[in-house]
Amino acid sequence: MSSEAVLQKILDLQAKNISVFVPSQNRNIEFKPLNIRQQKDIIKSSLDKNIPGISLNTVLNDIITENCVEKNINFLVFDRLNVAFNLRKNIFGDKIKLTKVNEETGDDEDTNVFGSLEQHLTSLNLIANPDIISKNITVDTLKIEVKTPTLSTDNKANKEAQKNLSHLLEKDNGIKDIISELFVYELTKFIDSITVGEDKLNFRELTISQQIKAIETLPANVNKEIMNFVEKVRDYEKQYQVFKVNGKDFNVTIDASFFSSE
Amino acid sequence: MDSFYINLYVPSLDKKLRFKEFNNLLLINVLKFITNKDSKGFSNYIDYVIDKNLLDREYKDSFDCFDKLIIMLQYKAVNINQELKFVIKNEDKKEASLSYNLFNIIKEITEKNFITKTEIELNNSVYIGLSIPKSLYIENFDTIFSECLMYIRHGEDRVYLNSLPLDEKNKVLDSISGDNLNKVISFFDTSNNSTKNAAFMSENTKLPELNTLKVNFFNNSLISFLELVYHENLLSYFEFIYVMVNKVKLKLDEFYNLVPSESLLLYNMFKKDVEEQNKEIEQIGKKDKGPTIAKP
Repeated sequence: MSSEAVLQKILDLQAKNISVFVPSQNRNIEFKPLNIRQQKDIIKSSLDKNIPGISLNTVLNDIITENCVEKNINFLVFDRLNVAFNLRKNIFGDKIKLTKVNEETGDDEDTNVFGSLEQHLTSLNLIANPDIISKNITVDTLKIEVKTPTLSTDNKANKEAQKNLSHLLEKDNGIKDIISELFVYELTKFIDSITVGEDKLNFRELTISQQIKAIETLPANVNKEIMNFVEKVRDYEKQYQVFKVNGKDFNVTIDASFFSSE
Repeated sequence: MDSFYINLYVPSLDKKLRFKEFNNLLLINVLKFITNKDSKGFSNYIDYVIDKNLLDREYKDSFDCFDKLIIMLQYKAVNINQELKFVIKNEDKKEASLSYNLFNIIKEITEKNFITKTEIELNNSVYIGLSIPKSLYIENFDTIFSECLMYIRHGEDRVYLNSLPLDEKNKVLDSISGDNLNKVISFFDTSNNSTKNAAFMSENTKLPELNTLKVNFFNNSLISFLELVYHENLLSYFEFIYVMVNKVKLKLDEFYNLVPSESLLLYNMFKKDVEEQNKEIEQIGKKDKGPTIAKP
């Protein structure tokens, strides 16, 4: 057997594509399964000097874009978990270990309870209503257009946050500082434009630091309105993480360990 | 054949291969990398030295980081100095010395059963060969991952991933299902456990810091140990070159082509000559002055 034939043998190993419902497109789309290089990137996202949550999201966003068989689809951030759950199920199986929130500390704690990803996803209402896709906020002469960010907008802000905030990980209580700083980065993802009178500021044309400066000038009541929209989107995403087992709520922790067996 | 070759043991092949000797030019570059604290550069230079000096070319891509460590330790022992000496000042400011024989260190660590390679089955009798990293310098997790996947095997046929163009290598990696990473990580754990508590040097009480130097293929402990073994004052080395060129009258090229232990041998002969000449001059001086008169 020639080396070409050996190579062909391994190329033939590539598993079949999977069909996944994508809420923002309201239809099923084909995805290639997770490969070993992507699995490595997922694990790497949990290593030192990475801000764990945003690093993992950046990696997942890249994987979703790369593995989608159709090109030029504008995925939105709330598509991420359904695709991720299905990619995980395809490689590591349906069974998943669940956690429970400790009421005193608020941390997720291990349990010996397992859930079925298939049953869980079937029980959810995956349709994305228009009120979590975009909204216009008007306060006096100020008009803010908010939109659920695409994966590429999410990545741009995440990478900037990673670059500017990762040094805080080395400080005592650095995580607290990161969380408060991330709040502003989060807003940059959702604001699409700000219009004052006739002047329109298109956020997607600005750098992240320019976006942050613009947000800092917004009145508090406008920020509150924006946050209401962000919370609606996050509530939609939260449903993926809450499993009902025997009438009780359990959580699934989405970190690097989620992408391994059980 | 225009050079002298020495046989150096390569653990992963369990055999000796022929290498050119390690000369002063190579040593001076090594000292510069160490003085600059450039571990990555030092590691790349070791790759260059091993590749350039290897006579048995068919093995040129087959060395892992442990092979490279052992080759460099043998070079130090054979071509430079087999004694690894540490001089320390105690609390009472008295000097104490501690020395190890490099051949003993090499013997001890090569006799340990470290796990440095394995094979995992992917599917349909297709196997992937895994090894510890090839590089002595580990930059990040990507280095470990990209270097541990060595070859794909089906039956007796193997394709080495390093021999493939990058896009073809990526195609192969993209074809391997993500769940296999658990098997790869399990190999890292097994290999790591096999080196657990394996010290480079036997335990001592004079310099306890040395007891903490442990063999580990997945951090930078191998390159750090080589930096310690090869460490020498660069300025003193330049002074040595000055003497060899200006006093011993070697041409710079001739000096660079010599093996360090040979140049030290020549220097010692020169030094002995000078000492004998001084003695003769002293004797003549004494004769010229005539007999000294003993004081009453």
